[in-house]
Amino acid sequence: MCPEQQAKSTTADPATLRDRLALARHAQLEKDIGELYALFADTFRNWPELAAFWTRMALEEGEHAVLVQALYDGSVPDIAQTASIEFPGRVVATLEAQIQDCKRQAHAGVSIDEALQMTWDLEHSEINAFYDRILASSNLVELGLPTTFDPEGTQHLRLLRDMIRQFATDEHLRRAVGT
Amino acid sequence: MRGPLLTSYPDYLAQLARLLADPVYRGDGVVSGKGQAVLLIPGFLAGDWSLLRMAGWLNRLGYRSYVSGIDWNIDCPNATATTLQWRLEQLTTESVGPLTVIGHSLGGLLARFLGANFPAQVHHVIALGSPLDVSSPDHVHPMVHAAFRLLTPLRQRGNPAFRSCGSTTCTCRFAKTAFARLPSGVSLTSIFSKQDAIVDWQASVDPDGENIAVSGGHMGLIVNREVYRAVAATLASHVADVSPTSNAP
Repeated sequence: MCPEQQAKSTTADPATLRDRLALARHAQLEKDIGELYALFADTFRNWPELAAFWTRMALEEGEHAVLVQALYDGSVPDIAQTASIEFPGRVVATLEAQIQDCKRQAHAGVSIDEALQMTWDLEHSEINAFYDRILASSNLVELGLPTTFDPEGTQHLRLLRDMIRQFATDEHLRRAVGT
Repeated sequence: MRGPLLTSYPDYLAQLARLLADPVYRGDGVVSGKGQAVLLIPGFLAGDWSLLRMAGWLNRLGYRSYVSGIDWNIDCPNATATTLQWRLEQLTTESVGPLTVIGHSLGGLLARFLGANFPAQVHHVIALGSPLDVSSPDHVHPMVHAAFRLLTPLRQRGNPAFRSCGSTTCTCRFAKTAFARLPSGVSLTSIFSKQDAIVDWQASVDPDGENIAVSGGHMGLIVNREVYRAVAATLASHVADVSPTSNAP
C-alpha cells in the first residue's frame, strides 16, 4: 500500500453500493488507475520495457473503465446488466483514497521501485475482483466485448512479476514476487 | 510536462467508447470480407495485445486476421522486420493468400517494409498514424525519439554494423527499403489525424498512396470508429477481388 495510505483509508462510506452507483464508482476507479499507469509509462519512458508494460496496463484498465461506464450509461446497444451488483462502500472509498494518493505521489515524482510497489498493491487489491464480478453480472463476456478477460487474473501479475524481477532493486518487493 | 500517453489517454477512452456504440463495430453498413487474410502489426512500445479488438472485429466482418507475434515492439526495426519476414513465410506456407498488412505507427512502417520487399505475398498496406516521411526529426514527438535512441546501444551490441540504428541513414535493410517506392501490385492507404500529437500528420501523407484524414489522437487510432470505417472501405475496395486460398473460412 502507498505510504500514508493506511492512515487515510479510514474515509468511511459504510453503505453498500448497489448497481448503478457501484458501476459509476468502479468505472472511475478503473479510469484513475489507467491514468496512474499512463503517468508511469510517460515517467519511465527511458526504460522502454517498463514504458511498454505500463502502456499496456493503462490501456487495459482504460478498457475496463469504458466497458463499465457503458454498462452504467447504456451507451452501447445490447449490453446489459444481468444480475444485481453490490460492493462494500468502505472498501471502494479506501481504494479511491489509495489511488488518489498514488497519483499525487506519482505527479510529485516516484522511483521505479515505488511505481512498481504501487502497481503491485493495486493489482492485489479488490479492484480486479470487483471487475470480474461486474463481468459475471453482465453480458459483456457473452458479447465478446472484453478483449482482455483473464478469468484467473494471472496475466497482469505475470507481467508485473517479470518487471519486478528485471527492474526492482528493493529487496522487500523482490522477495514478495519470489525473486 | 505531461507525457504523450497521459496526454492522449482521455482521447483513447473517448474513441473506444464511441467505437463500441457505433454501428461500424457491429458490421452494420460495412461490406463483409470473404476470408481474405489481414496481418496486424503494433506500434512502438505496444504489442499484439493492442490490436486484438481490431483483429476480432475483422474476423467478425469475414476477414481472417493474423497477429504479428510481437509482444513488445521495442527492438531494432530491422530485427523486428526480420521477425515479420519469418511470420510472412509462415503464413505463406499456410497458404492464406495475398495479405493486407495493417500497422499502427511504427507498425505501419514495418507493414510498408513488407510490402516493399515481398510483393508476391503482400497486396495492400494500411498505415495508421505512421511517420512515412522521417526526413525531419520534428515529425515525431521528441519523447518518442528519446526512448528510441536509448535502445540504440543495446541494438548495436547485437549488430555493431548498424551505427545509426533508428535513423534513415542506417545501412540496414529496413532503413533502405521501408521508405522506398512500393512495387507495382502493392498499394498503400495512409490513415492519419491532424490532431495527432505524436506523429506530424504531414509525415503520414504518402504522395503515391491513398490518404484518409480522420479526427482523434495517435494512440486512439487503434480504437477510432472513423479509422474502422476507413479500414472497412479500404478493404472493400482493394481486397474484394483478392481470392483467399485453402485455409480461408
